[in-house]
Amino acid sequence: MAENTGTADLQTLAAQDGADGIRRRDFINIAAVAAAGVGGVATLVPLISQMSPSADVLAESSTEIDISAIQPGQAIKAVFRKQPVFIRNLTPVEIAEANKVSTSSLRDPQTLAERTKEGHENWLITMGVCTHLGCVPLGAGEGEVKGEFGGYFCPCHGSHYDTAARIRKGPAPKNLEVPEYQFTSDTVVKIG
Amino acid sequence: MSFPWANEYSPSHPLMKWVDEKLPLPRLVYNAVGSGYPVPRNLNYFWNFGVLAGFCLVLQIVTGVILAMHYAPNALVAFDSTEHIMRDVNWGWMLRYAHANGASAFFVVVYLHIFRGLYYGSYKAPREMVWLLGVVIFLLMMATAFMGYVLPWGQMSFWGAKVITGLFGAIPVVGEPLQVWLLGGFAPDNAALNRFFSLHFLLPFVIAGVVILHIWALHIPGSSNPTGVEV
Repeated sequence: MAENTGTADLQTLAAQDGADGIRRRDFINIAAVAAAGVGGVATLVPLISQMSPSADVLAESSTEIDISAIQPGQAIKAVFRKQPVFIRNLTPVEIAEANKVSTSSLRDPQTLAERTKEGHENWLITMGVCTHLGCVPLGAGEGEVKGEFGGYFCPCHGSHYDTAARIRKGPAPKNLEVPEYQFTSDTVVKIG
Repeated sequence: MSFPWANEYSPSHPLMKWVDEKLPLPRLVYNAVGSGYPVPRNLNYFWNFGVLAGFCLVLQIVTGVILAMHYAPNALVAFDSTEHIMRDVNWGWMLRYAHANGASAFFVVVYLHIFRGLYYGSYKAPREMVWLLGVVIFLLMMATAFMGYVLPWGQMSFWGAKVITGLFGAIPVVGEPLQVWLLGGFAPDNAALNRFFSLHFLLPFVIAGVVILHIWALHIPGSSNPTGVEV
């Protein structure tokens, strides 16, 4: 480009070259690259964020469930974010059984109280997704096998969960996940 | 591929030397479109529109591939999926408008590019092949744009498909069976929509291929210039 500039211009430019060697053109170069960089990054925002869940998917990201019909000892399977969730009304015997286990003996130490909400200790709400490889464990439906510890049993590779849905035997590394939820009333629970 | 005009590529960085020996891709880029390829110094702004058209093609391919992630080419759900893009997908409205208006921008830029070629005689010897390949690109662009127009599957899409395939129906003797063959039915329906989507996805890449030939053919004699006198 320099040969396009006249000799006079070159002399002026040379005169402006300070002792630090900064030229006027350096400013233009930096400004142009900076503007192009900001523009390029701004363009990437929609190109990347379009892959995130869309508004219709997010609108279905919480589930309200009426639990009034679930008797002690019963459980239901519901759908939360396209995955099964187990809602179980524990009997006093099951609660006592879960509480008498010392947490230090557990693979993923947690008490039943930590896995339920205060005032609703009989309601055990967990994802119906085995923490081993993601199968749906048995034990929520009427007459299904509950495993050696009376909670849930995953038929894929034989993980046994207890009455607090904690892993007790088998390959699964973690307790069944407790999703984020709250009771909007005594009979309705909102998951997510 | 050799460009008589191009300067010799002599990389100074050892890494670039190493790559150039194994796969002379840096040399190809330098000679074909990089600073090794000299252009006449008296070009005016009309010589920008070829590069701008190339930019439009890239923009259309990027936004189009993204729209295809959210669009469903089935007559029952195509319109709903278009509305889904406009209302639910993050920035979907922006991407669809960029794709639709980008198509218009592409044609505006290409018309100016064609006008430049006509006005300054860029089509003349020794650049006839450049012009002929440009005609191929223009025809492919029209076909691609028409099929893209049909994809939202609204009223304008349906009747657009009906009218434009009707042009083929006007050909004597073979016209009517040809139109039925093009549509895969007696009126635009699912078969037509599906093949239009498939071809609308394919043809831009064919265009990109012909664009490479177009640039290759141009860079043998080098760019023309506003005086019309070879330098």
